[in-house]
Amino acid sequence: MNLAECIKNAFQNVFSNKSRTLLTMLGIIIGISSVIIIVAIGNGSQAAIEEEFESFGTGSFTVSLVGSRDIDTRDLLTMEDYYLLEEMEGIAAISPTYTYGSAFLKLMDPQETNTATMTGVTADYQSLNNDTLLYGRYLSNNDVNMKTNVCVIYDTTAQKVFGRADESVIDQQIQIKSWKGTKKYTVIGILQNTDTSQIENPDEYPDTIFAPITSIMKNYYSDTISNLMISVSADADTDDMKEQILTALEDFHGNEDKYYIMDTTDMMDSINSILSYVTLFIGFVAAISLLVGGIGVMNIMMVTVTERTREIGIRKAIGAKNKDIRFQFLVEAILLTGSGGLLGLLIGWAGSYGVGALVGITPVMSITAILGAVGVSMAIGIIFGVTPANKAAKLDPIEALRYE
Amino acid sequence: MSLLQMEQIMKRYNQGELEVMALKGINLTVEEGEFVAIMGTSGSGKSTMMNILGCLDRPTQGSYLLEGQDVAHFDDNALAEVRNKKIGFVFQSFNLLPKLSALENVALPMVYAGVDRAVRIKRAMEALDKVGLSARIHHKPNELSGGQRQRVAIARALVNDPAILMADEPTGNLDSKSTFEIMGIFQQLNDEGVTVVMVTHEPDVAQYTKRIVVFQDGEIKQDHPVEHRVIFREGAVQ
Ligand SMILES: Nc1ncnc2c1ncn2[C@@H]1O[C@H](COP(=O)(O)OP(=O)(O)OP(=O)(O)O)[C@@H](O)[C@H]1O
Ligand SMILES: [Mg+2]
Repeated sequence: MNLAECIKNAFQNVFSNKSRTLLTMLGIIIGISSVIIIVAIGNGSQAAIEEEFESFGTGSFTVSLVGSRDIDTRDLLTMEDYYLLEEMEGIAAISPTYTYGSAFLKLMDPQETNTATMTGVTADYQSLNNDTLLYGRYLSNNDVNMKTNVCVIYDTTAQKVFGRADESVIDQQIQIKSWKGTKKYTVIGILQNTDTSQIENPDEYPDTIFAPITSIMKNYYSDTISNLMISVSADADTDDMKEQILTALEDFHGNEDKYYIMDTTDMMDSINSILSYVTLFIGFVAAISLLVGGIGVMNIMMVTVTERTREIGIRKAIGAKNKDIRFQFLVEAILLTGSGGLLGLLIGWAGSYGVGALVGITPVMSITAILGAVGVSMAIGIIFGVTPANKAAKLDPIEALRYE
Repeated sequence: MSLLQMEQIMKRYNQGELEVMALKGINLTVEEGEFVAIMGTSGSGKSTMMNILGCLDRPTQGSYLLEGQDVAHFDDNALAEVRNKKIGFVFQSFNLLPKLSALENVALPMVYAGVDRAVRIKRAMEALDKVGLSARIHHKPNELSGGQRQRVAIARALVNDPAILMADEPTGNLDSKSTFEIMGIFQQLNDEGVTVVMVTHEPDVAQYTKRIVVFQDGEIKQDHPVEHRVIFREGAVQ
């Protein structure tokens, strides 16, 4: 018997009883749609977290002062700590940072300003923060030593201030106002902003301006730094280095337990592993629902075979072989679960965006999940359709014809 | 070589403790072009015999040669093939598939024979034309009268050009007008060379055939040609 005829025939049989078909498919629909939603939301949150962390720069960690009350002035981090650690062996890149957030950047329209985050760093910060330079140059150690008023800005910021982000912006000045006075900084480099949400709505985010830390500390009257961002060389042991760094700082300040290290890679790993456990657990629940759905399909197929015993007898009497009958019922089972899977896919797709909107995550649809859903539902049809199909195939033609 | 040749065919049914010998050593030979009526009392083994003849069932013992092939020992697959290619079976209760149209019902055996769709439709139309149903090819069985349904069933039995047409009480569910029309179709087919073996209870129906075989208690009791054969004429009062 040819395939086209068989599929056409299966369509007729499966969809002639719509409510029964729909009820039978329900388990599959629920199973598949929940898998799709879980995977889409899981991937979406993973992507969001990764993007968040990427802007921090991966492979690096920060050393900061603990946020407790019994902090002495001698505990505060200063440039001295930077000079101390800079000499340490095994450190690949290190930059102190100092951030002054209450400044305002003058935009193109002289009446308009935007909040500016003045971030003081050193030359190493470019690699630590994974920044890509588009035009000009990055801050140099000489700029840091000379406390010059130069800065690098993102292309999004350049657009807002100059209406363009190209070579011609280099050596132009920007003005930053705060209650500590209006400062002028010369733009020496333009960086590529990779934060998609900032690129899409640049006006809703403060502009980050990177300048030599010494110049920021001078202009905004600070003796201390916010923290130290560090990456270790490939051949050094990261945990060992963290230990050494803390010890060195404690020795230098003569204190204990005042500093802590935040490692984005560690955090991302632990968040990812929690996320994958959650996904695994919900996936397990979904798998059970698919199993139950499959058993439902098997049950209905058994009933169908019994109901259609006479039809099977007729088909055999006119020349259908056992394998033709087996194939016919198998195709019907696959059609049943396959269309359940397809419906589940559509509902899951819509549901992902619904759930995504509720929890504020953009769902990420993966081809693997889509193909997997369709494949799994068809596989369920095969697995749970084989027994009823074999039962149909084995019927004796005379017995079947006599069946009322 | 005879078209079909049965020797010492036996059929035993086991119903728990009870053992029924439905056929007790049947010897029967049918040549090409014959038109045979099988008669006999209820329970005498006619249907059992037809099922074996039609390769729907296997005998417990004995040999059955169909066109020289010993089909008594064929497996399921081979029997299905024989039913599909060499045998056309017509049942008392029509046995059409209710969801398919007349045309689709008639075309179904060709689906299992692997015939192309276009050829299937063409041949199914021809077969329906032969039984005088060209006007109703798209009707479902429940939109047809009993006589019309049986014609669809005959068209289906003929469509793969079988060596023999088997019919188990084909007129059992029909009124007398339809009965004689169906017999007319059988006669016409037989005139065209189709071998027909049919079971009937009614002596006047048997008069349309050429040979009568009478069963009794699982054995052949009589086997004789029809002496005063009735020929069906369109419009003749029966
Ligand atoms: N599947 C079966 N199991 C057990 N006994 C059976 C079976 N089929 C037929 N028989 C028995 O075999 C005998 C012959 O039955 P069969 O159906 O061939 O009779 P028949 O001549 O066709 O009768 P009718 O004219 O009523 O159709 C009967 O005694 C019947 O009870
Ligand atoms: Mg009978």
